[in-house]
Parts: sequence; structure tokens; C-alpha cells
Amino acid sequence: MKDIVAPYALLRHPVSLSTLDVPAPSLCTLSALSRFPCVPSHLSRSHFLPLPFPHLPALRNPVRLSLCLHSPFPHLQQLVTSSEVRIPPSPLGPHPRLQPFAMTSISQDEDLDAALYPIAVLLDELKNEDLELRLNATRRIKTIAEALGPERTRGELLPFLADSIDDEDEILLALATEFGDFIEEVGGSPHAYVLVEPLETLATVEETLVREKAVESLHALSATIADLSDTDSRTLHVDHMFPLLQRLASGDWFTSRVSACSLLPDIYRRIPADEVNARTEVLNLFKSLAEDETPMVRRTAAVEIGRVAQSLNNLDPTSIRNALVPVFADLVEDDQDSVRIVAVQNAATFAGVVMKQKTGDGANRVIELVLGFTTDKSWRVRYVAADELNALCDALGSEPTKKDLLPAFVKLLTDSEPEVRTAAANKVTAVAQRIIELLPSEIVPVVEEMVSDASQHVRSALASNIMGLAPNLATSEAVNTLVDVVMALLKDEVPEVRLNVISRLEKVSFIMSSEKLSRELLPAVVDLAEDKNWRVRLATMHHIPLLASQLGRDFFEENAKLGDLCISWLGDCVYSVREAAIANLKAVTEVFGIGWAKDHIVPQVLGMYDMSNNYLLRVTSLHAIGVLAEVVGSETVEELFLPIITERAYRDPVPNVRFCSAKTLNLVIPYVRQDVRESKIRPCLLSLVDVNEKDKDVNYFAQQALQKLGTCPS
Amino acid sequence: MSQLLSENCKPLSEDEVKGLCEKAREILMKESNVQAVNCPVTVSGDIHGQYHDLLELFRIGGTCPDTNYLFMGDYVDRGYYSVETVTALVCLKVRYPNRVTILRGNHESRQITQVYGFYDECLRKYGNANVWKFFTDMFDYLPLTALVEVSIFCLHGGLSPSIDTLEQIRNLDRVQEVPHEGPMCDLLWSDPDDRCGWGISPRGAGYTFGQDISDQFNHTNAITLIARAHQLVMEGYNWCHERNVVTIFSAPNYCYRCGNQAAIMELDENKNYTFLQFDPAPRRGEDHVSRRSPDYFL
Repeated sequence: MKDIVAPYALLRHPVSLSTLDVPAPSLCTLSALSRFPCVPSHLSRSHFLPLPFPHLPALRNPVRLSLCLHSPFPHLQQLVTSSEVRIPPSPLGPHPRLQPFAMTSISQDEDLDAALYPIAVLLDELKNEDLELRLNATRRIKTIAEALGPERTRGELLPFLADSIDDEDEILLALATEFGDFIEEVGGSPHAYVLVEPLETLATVEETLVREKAVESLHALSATIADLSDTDSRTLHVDHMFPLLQRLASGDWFTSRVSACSLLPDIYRRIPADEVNARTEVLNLFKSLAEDETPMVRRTAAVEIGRVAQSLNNLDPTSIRNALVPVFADLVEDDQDSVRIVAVQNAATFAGVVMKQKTGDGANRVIELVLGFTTDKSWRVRYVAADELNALCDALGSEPTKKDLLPAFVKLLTDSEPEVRTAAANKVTAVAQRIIELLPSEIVPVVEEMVSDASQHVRSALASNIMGLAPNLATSEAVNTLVDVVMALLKDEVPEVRLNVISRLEKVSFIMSSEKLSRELLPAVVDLAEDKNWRVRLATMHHIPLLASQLGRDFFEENAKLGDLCISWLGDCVYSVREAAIANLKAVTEVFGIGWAKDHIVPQVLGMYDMSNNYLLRVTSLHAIGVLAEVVGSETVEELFLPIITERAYRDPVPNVRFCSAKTLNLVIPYVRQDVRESKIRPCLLSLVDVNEKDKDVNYFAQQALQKLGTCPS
Repeated sequence: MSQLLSENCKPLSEDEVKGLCEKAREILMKESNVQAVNCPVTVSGDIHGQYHDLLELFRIGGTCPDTNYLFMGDYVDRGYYSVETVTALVCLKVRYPNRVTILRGNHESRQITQVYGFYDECLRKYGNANVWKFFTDMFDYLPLTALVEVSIFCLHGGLSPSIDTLEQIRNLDRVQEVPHEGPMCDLLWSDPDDRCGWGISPRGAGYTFGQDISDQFNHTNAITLIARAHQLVMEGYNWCHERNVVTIFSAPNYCYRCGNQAAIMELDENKNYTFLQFDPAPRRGEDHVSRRSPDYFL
């Protein structure tokens, strides 16, 4: 009840009761309250203290009223359907100053209007000074609309909201979002068109986010209606959307023209085929937008040209070549590189549509334009072209790829800007798969050159992608070149480059057969394993199991260094490296088997516990035991692992080591036979929970292990 | 809690924070102004709401409870994730009171947090100031200093001209907002200085103290080292006063722009120390940046 009483305090304020007691409070009269100087703008905020309530004897059910003033959403809805709350008529009659704001279509039903009171408060909040409150109210306009019904929503709410169009961007954004799913609220698809006008206003504002959201909502509106009903769709698109497009496209400010561009493809598609004039007009609008004086509009046209082409392709294939290819050419040759960039990004979609048409001259013109990207004078355009190369290859088909795009690709690989070369190097594998037979002659020589590129980013990208070439290389000569390239990269001065090579080794089992290379590989790995950046050490370690499976057990045994590395990581100063080292040991054990682990891992892990005078390393050793227990077999666990815990670790002077013993025991229980559990583990745990053990954390983890001991099946 | 200590942690609800702070207060109330801490322990300096770097700190130093931690204040303000940071640390304290010690820094105060971001962050993330109030009320109970194995004295700021012995600190009434002056204020605000004696602090609170002062204090109280935080040091840690005093700072790339390393000090069970330095945690999307020219006319 405390919350419920709270807001009465607002009535202590000089707001006269007669102001609140409007006899037939319509939406607008109440919302208008906030415009009166005598009403504080925070009228509806809940910051008031509970106070006695002598001022409102006329309210028959004050509790409910206050509830509806301030309750969260569900209560409001309840109240809207109940008629318990009433605001009695004022003996003084309506306040004269409220009259100008009263709407014409006011229902005289007193009960209904009283029930609308909470809604009115929400509406009041729509005009509040506090942005937060306005925003919240805006996000609830659906509920307001539901309470009002479709007719009053259309007649009162929408004009009322239109009033707030020049508000904060945040409010506009919320409004634009709400209108995207507002068809039911305005009375279903026959009335959906009423939303076009408010969204149009939102689609012209300066803030991009709002505009984009409004366009998105218009898209949603158009798509929903198109699905629902053909007649309504025709009305909406021909009588409302088409004129909207015309208005937006001829707007004074670029903002509206940008919105027009984004809306155009969908509207074009949804204008019925028999409206030939409208369609032609839309296409003409697009042409003029693509030649707009502001780059922002031209950029949007470049974004949409692919979708326009797709819409045209379904409906009116012939006009693509005549109407759109010249438009595309203009965009591609725009003098602003930002426009050209967008054109390149959408070229694949557009080219795909044109190539499918199989009209020779159109296709040739498009290929010519696409090739132009790779020699553009702006490096940013060339960069995007390199990035889009895959998609362009797909769009143009295999013949032009070999004949035209491959030379262009080689040119990008040797570009003067490192960014472009990097982007191109990232595509080596993808492009190679399309031109397998030309690989040795065209790509491999270029790649060989790139090993000594001045930019580490280029070499790094190359290192990540070069392995993809291997499976496609047929001749041994080319393979040898590739091996040389990989070796050079393995000796690179930048760790990232070396790491990228090592991380892709799984693709090149063939390289492992090359003795020359495996000799080079080892020093590279060792070097990375000791890098001063711990993330490099960590990343190197992740590849060790892979190396193990590729190089084989013999190699590991011959080159003791690799095994030593795995152990030395256990003593790393960085916790994450130590933890990863444990996982690594487990993975390598899975590759090489228990026998190997017994010789090469278990003694070292135990030795680490013995030799360490740092508790963190003893804890690591215990963690390792817990993890390795899963793979080394119960014999090793019982004979080698258990004694170190049950004889020493559980009595360690450092409590952390003691509770880690308990945690490790918990983990190894499943791998220990029942009798050993009782004879070794249980006494150990019991001593960790008895009164002599003062540390609560030790007690806790030992208790947990004891529980596991009781429940774990043997 | 494992959820809390993950990359995309969601802040606790308002009620949960309230409960957490009450629990923390019960625990902290029992602690001394000079809280005794055992070795081994890892000592850490300012975090300043850099939650992702706190996670990095745990990646370097180890997770709780396996590693013991002593945090020397300044968990909130400046960084963008003060709420997450302080929630995580207080949760750890509540769950493992014997493994984690959290001291008070000059930013664990009502006044400072209203200026440097914690208050605004609470308001933004919870819509009201209740959470800020719960936390700052709890901050009053945080211990001011800690003493590791009777020989390493840890605190946020530095020494005070009104304090000669640890006993004097033990006798302070710490449960209050950090005052503008006096011993409690100095412990949280002072800095060591190259000049001898006491000096006026450029910060407007606390003092600067010279090597003679720290010599004297360490001698009087049979302490070998003063470990403190409070100042940005580029290497993450910095010795001064001929190894009487060490500054530890654990917010890498402080304020996301200083380019400094962070450090923590690992004390093993034999009181041997190792400093671990670390860099900011890599953030998503940052590793592919090479060169982009700005889109001027967007």
C-alpha cells in the first residue's frame, strides 16, 4: 500500500482541484494540463512523499486512482477495462482555459472517460519535460492506441503524435520503431495508409538513425500489407507510397532523397504491373536520384542499384540494359570515391543480374566496368575491390574470371598500397580454387615475391592463406616453390606471421613429408613458445596437439625439445598459460597414448610439485593431476598421482594447496578403485574437515569431495 | 558468480546488490583498520572500472579461490564498467572472505564517485541512485590498510603526519565518509615524494612524504615494505625510497588512453615477491585495424 498512497502528495501542490476535475476529460484536455504554468511539469512523477489526504473528498476511490497514476504497465491495462475509477464532475464546471484544447469528438460517457484517465496521464507524459518519461510514454503508444480503439487512434492519437515530430531524436527513433508494427492499432490493412504520413515526416529528419528506422518501418508496412491483401496493397502502393516516393525524391534537403532511394526498389516491385506509367516514373526517379548533386544520395543509389536490378529483372528485363547499365556506369565513374566504394560493394549483385540475362554487349560493358575498379586511382576503392573479389568472380562466371579478373587480381597483389595487397592476399585461396590450372604459372611467382613484402600485415595475411594453395598444386616444381615460401615465412621476424603458418599446418600434410621443412619448423615453434607476449605462447600451444599428430611420436621423441616445451609451459608465470599447458598435455597424451605419457609427462608433473617453493606451481601440479587422471588410466592414478596428495599435499602449510588437494581428490575419485578410495582418499578428506582444520574454504571443498565419495559409483 | 566473472556479465538486479552489500558489510565490519593478511597473496592496485582488464588480471594471476588476492582500493570511477568491477570484487569477498581482502581507496567515497563516473554509471544502468547508495554505504566499512605477515604494509595512498604507529591506525573510527583532512584522509590520499619530510600534496588532500618519513615509519613498526597504489606508473610498478615503498597500479592503458602497463605483485609463502606486468585485454574488433581514412562527408 505504501507505493499506492505516495502520489497523493502531488495534490498538495497549488494545482487546483478544479483543474484536475475536468468533467469529461478528453485526451487532449488532460495532456494540455502540462502546458499550463500552474501545473508543474513533474506532475506525474513519483517523487512525492506519502501524505495524508484531506484534499480530495470527492474522489470515491482514491486508492485506485493513484494506482493508475503510477502503476507499471499491467495495472494500467487492468484499469482501462474496469470502470471503478471515476473522476466526478466538478461543481465549478469545466475550466475555461482548458476549452481551446478540447477536441471535437469527445465521448460523453463519463465512465469511459474516467477509465481513460491513466491513458491521459501517459499522454501527459508524452509532453513532459523529462526526456526519460517522454521516451517511456512513447514506447507505450501501442497501449494507448489499444485503449482508444482504432478510430480514435487515427483521429486523435496520430495527429497528437504528429505534434511532437520536432522533438528529441531519441523520441523520434522510438516513434519510428513503434510505427513499424502499428497496423492493427489503426484498424488493420485498409487503414494502414494513415501511417505513411507520420513516417514520411520521420523519414526526412536530419538524424540518420531516425531516418533509417522510419524507412525500415515503411518497408515493414509495405511488406505486411502486400502479404495481407492485394487490393489494400494496390491502394497503399499506388495511391500512397508512389506519391510519397515522388515527394521524398523531390525534397529540398538530401535527407528525404536518401530515404526515397532506400524505399524505391520495394515500392517498384509492389506497384502492380498494369500501372505502367507509375513504374516508368519510379525508374526515372531512380535515374535522377543516381545523378543527384549530393554524394550521400548517390551513395544510397549505389547501395540500392543491385536490388533495383533484381526487381527489374523479374518484371521488366529489357530495361536493365537500356536504363540501368548507364546508371551503374555513372556511379562507378563518380568523382567521389565514397560513391565508387559503395558501387563496388554492390557490383556483384548488379553484375550477377546482368550476366544472367546473357545480352552480350550489356555483359561486356559490366565486365569492363568491374575491371576498372582494380585500377581505380583511390586505394580505398581498390581495397574494396580486392575484398569483393570472390563475389565478383561468382557473379561474372568462370570464363571472365580467368580471362579478365585473374590479371586484375595479380595487379592487386602487387599494388602500391599495403592495405590493398593485404586484402588481396587474404583472397589467394578463394581465387586459386577458381583457376586451378593457371595457379603455377600466374599466382605462385607473385606469391614468391610477396614473402619479402615490406608490410608485416601483407606477410601475415599471406601466411594465413598460402596453405590453401597446396592441395591445388599439381606439379612438384610448384610445390617446391611453395615449400620455400612457407619456410621463409617461418623465419619471419614478426611472431604473428610465424604463428599464422603454424596454425594452418593441418592443410599441408604433404609439407610434413618434406624433411627440409620439418627441420625448419622446430626452431620456429621453439622460438614462438618462448615469446615474451603470453598470448603468442598460448596460441602456439594450441597448435601443439596438431603438430603432434602430424609429426608423429618418433619425431617428438627424437626432438626432446618439444616435449620439454610442453612441460616448461606448466611453470609459466601466467596463469592462463599454465592452465592451457595442462589441457595441452592431456591432448598430447590422447595422441601418443598412456605409455608415452608415463615416461614423458607424469614424472615431470610430480617433479614440479616436489621442486616448487611457490604455492601457485604446486596448485598447477594438482590441477594437472586432476585433468590427466581422465586419460592416464587408473593404475597410474593410484600408483603415482594419489600418493603425492594423500601423503603430502593435503598437509601443505598453504591452505590454497590443501583445498586444491580436496578439489583434485574430488576429480580423481572415478578413476580410483573402491578399496583405495576408502583406505587412502577418505582419511585424507576427513582430516580436512575436522576441528584442527581452521580454514573454511578447505572444509568446504573437502566436504564436497566427501559427498562425491559417497555418491560416485565405482 | 561464474556468470558474473565472464566476458558479457550482466549486472545484478537492484535487490541482489542490496543483499550483497548487506552481507559484505557484516563481513567487513569484523575486519580491523589494519587487517592482518597471510602469505601467499597477490597484491593488486587501482582497477578503476576497467572490468575487462580485471578479467585479464585474473587470467594472469590466477582465479579465486586458488590464488589469494589483496586489492588496494579504487575499484570504481573513470572506466566504463565500475558497476561490474565492484560487484565482482565484492562478490568474491563475500564468497571467499579468507581468500580476498579489499581495502578502501580514495574513490570509494560518496563525493568522489559523484564526480568521476560511478554515480552516473549506476544511474545509467539502474535508472536510479539506489545501487550507488548501497555500494557507497558499504564502502564506509572497508578496511583502510592491511598488514601482510606483520612485515608488508599495504594501503591505497600513503602515510600521514598524524600517524606514527599502526596502533594509531587501529584506533581510528573508519566507518564514515572519507573526510577532507586528518589521518584517515591522508592514508587514502598521500603520495611518496623525492623530497624529504612532509610536503603539501598537489591533489589538495593528503600529503607527500619523503624517504626519511618512510624510513622512520618502517623502523618504528618493524615493517620491511610499504606497498601502495593510487598513482599511475608506466611500468605497472615502481620502487621508491630505496625500496621502502613500492607503487602498484593495475589498470593497463589507464582511462583507455595512457598507454601504461599494469602490474600485480605475487608474494609467495616465503614472502618472495614477483611482479607480473600485463597489457590491456584485447577487445573484440580491435585486432583488424590497420589504416582507415575517415569518412569526412558522411
